[in-house]
Amino acid sequence: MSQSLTTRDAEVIVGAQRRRRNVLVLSEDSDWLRELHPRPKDLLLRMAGRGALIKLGAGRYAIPVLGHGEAAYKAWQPMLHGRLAALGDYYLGFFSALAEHRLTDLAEPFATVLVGFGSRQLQSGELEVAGRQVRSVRTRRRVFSSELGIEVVRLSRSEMYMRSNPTRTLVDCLWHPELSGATETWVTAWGRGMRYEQLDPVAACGYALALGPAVARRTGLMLDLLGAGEVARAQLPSRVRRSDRVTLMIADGLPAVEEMELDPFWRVRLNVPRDRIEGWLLYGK
Amino acid sequence: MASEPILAIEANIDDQIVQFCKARPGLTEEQVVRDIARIVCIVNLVRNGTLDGKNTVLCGGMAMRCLDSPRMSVFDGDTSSRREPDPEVLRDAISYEDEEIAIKAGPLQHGDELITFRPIEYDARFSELRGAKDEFSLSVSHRGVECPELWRPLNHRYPFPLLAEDLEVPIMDPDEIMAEKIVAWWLFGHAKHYNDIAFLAGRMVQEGRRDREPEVKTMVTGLIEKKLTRNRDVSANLASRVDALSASERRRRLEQPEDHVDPDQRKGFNSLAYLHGSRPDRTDVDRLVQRVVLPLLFD
Repeated sequence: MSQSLTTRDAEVIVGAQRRRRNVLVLSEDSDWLRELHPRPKDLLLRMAGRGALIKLGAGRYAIPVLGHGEAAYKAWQPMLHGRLAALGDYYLGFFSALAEHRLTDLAEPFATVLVGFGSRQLQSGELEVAGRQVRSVRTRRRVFSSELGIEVVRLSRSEMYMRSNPTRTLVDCLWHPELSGATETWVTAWGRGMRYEQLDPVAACGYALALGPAVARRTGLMLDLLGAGEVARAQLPSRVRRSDRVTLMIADGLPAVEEMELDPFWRVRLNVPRDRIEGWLLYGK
Repeated sequence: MASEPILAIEANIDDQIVQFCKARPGLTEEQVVRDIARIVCIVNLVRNGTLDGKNTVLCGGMAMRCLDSPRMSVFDGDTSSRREPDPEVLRDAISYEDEEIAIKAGPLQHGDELITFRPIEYDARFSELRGAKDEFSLSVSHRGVECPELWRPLNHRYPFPLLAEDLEVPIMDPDEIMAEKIVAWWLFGHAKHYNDIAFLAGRMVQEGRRDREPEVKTMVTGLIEKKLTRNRDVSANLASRVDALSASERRRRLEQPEDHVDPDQRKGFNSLAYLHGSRPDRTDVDRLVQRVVLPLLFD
């Protein structure tokens, strides 16, 4: 979109920059915007129409790069932050984080997030930010802290977003594989993470415990397959294996049948054969 | 600074990239800018004699593109070398700077007969798009190159002006690429390998059914055995995987590809990036493997 700025548009953008605002939020910025125009909502909508702002939805507008009204000139992650952070806990994870940490050589034009709040628009898959569809899962667990591998990524003084670190991203794949790409993609990423020392086995066990016993058992088995079984045995308490219930290795994979191999130590049913997982983990070594 | 710039782009390159991506919903501007940086890196390596064909050739996704494959890799670049390269010489050879772009090789990782520079950082000064400062990786495998190289035009496939001069790059012989892809499919089972096998099979058909020529059959099967032997020598893990490959298992993995990737969802086949055109139809891909590759290897 071509961009044309009026004097008032420039005043709005300068005002936002003075306040270190990368995303304008109608409900939060109306007071000072009213000094420039009696109806801030109309003002921002018209600015978006002229390419002077990028509409994010829900009363949020990102400030584009000067001279370029297209969202393509601007990092999309801070715009996502501007759209989601006010609603509650969130982070960019799963496939998007695999790609950002270079744990996969694939790319997809959507964003994958974990959120700690309810949103009908998110749930329905209709939310789009800066041209990217947002795919999400919601959790009620308190798993959004830096101690559990969630980091703040700062792109500039005013631009930031939340993202899972490489180890947490890999553990999350065992929790919600449906957002993590094809099984071969995220299993290969585990091998890649180990090879490039992006995967911290001790931290992986800590994160996995916070995500529940099923994830902990899958993590133990993955570390075993990567030659870090001793770490997993030391870090993951035996109580995670006491459940009578057998955990599926691939949470969104085939349902369990008797013929599938059962790992006797971690009590994980391999609904993708061990040989195939080992092949994916080995790739590139 | 380099004397002759590699890129010859127009002032509105960013608009051209934005328009290009709008017509291809699966592609993002970051991918295209990174791809251009990787192309510059390859041109530089050809110009400075590192990618010389005699010792080192392009392989993987970028080589496939030079054979007109529409599939693109988005981060990794692959080369293959007959001899183990000197990493420090290679690091200097990768780094490049002119007015439009700066490329700097970062730390290297040693694998089994494999060197990977990761990250290689770039500053695409020609662009103000997101992703103008980012990184990619480049691997040099020194597990051997069996056939003479093939020189092909560097087919970037962008509809806008990009390179200052047309250039040919040395790529691995397509039959040898096919042998590597078949072995990789058997050993590791990634959908991209299966898709590439089908693409190369289609190319054989287009070249007058080369797949039916006895000497081609002999050559491809011979190359496959050499690649399997090389893999067996690389590590004990790979050796056990090679040894587990019976003739019937090799055939089964080509005959029943879903069973070898994601048996439940087939997601693997749908997660690959395509620079040009759409994803190939799975039925066509399977048909090529069934009608060309299976007879080539097993009849």
